[in-house]
Amino acid sequence: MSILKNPKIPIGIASVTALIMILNYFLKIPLLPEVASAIQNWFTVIMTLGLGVGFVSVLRVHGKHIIKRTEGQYLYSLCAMLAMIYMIFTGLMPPIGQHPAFVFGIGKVKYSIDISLYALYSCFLFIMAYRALVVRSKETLIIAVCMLAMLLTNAPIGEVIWEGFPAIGNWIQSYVSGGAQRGVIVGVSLGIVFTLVRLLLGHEKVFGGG
Amino acid sequence: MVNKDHVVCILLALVVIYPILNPIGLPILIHEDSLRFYDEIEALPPDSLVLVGFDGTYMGLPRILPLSLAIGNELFEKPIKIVFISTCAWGAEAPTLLETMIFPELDMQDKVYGVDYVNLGFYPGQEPTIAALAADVHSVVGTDFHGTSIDKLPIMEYFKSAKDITLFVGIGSAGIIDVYVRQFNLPYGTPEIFMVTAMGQLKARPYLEAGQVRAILVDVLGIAEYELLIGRPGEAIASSDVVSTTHILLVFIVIITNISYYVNKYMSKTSKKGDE
Repeated sequence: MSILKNPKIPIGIASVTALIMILNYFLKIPLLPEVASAIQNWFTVIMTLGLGVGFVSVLRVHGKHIIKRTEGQYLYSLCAMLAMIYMIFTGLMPPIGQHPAFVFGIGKVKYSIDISLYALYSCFLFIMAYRALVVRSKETLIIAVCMLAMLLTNAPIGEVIWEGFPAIGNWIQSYVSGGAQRGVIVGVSLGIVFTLVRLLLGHEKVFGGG
Repeated sequence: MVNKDHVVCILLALVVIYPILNPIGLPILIHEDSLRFYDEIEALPPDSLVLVGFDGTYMGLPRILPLSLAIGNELFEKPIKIVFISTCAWGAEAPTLLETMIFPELDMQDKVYGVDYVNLGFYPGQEPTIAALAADVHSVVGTDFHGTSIDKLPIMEYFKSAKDITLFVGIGSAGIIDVYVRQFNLPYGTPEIFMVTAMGQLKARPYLEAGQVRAILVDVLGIAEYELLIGRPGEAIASSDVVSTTHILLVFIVIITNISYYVNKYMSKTSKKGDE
């Protein structure tokens, strides 16, 4: 087996990197800030290269559909490929990111599509809300009351109808939702810490192909 | 048979279009969140450095545009330095949006690009990139959005790390509010304020109440309040009537749906009893 395919290498790199970043955060050790800064910069470079990988991946996936003339798909793939190539090339034409052809693509075509989709989304949200909030159980009743209170809190008319709506809405936000949100934050943070410990001990193997 | 979904969509279109054509002019009361946001910007001393995390998308333009114009005009009026940067995963198109739709609409006063303000462009990677920027901006950023080396931009002499930032303003970047708190506020004590959506405020409130975020501006209504505070009425004030009408419609639809559900349930019960 090639040494490059050995899963211990990426696992080892990840463990050492994590250790450097932790030590740099908590301790003042000479030279370590420079090493940590270099690692962070490498990450930015890797992420930028990742965009290139995404480009190649889109070419591969949609290229296959176009070559095979996949029924019901290849025309969409062709559109996606042409749009991507158009945006990349016009985006790179000077002045970068401001060429009229690029601005037309992003400001007229994409903007119109985005806004239309967003408008459709509001219709779906309305339909989903009135279907989901039929009170069939105690739990749905609680959710429906909270939602109605929040709707009237977030609209100026709520305060005009009754001054108490914002007070109820703010109470829900601060205590009910706020408490749950804090719980989520603590849970996620603990999860990150445990993942980090697994990484340091070399038990986190998913990214290394383990 | 009338399709209920179609009726809902038509009603929705009506309650959006009508108040735009005939503004109702419902009173907008200034809330504490908006007042704190306003105070943070007004309290900026001369020669401050403001980093604007601009991650607006074209999809979010109805919210982003009025806020960016309101905050932008307010910032450009002050004798301060302003740096724009996009770091969120969805912020790739933000620098172009800034250059093509926001900057041309702003009253730039006598501000000079590269001296008083700069658009650094988009930097992918989110948390590690933001951490690297906070530690040493010049090691991450080589050029601005236009490809000019940052060594040729006088404003960048004032911006070396997060320690130099007087205030961070998040526009469209509230989705990673936790990242900015972790990488800017906790290690360097950078004061941060954010514009958040009505849904996004649920994530932001714990940080606000803990004092890690100084202020938030909540959705269109918050932007409308801010427009009132700075005395520049804009699109957000016009949109606040639409917020009221759509929310009231949804409340009515939910109530009517529940009434019809229980009436139908009662009717089917009584008809079953009649059959027996």
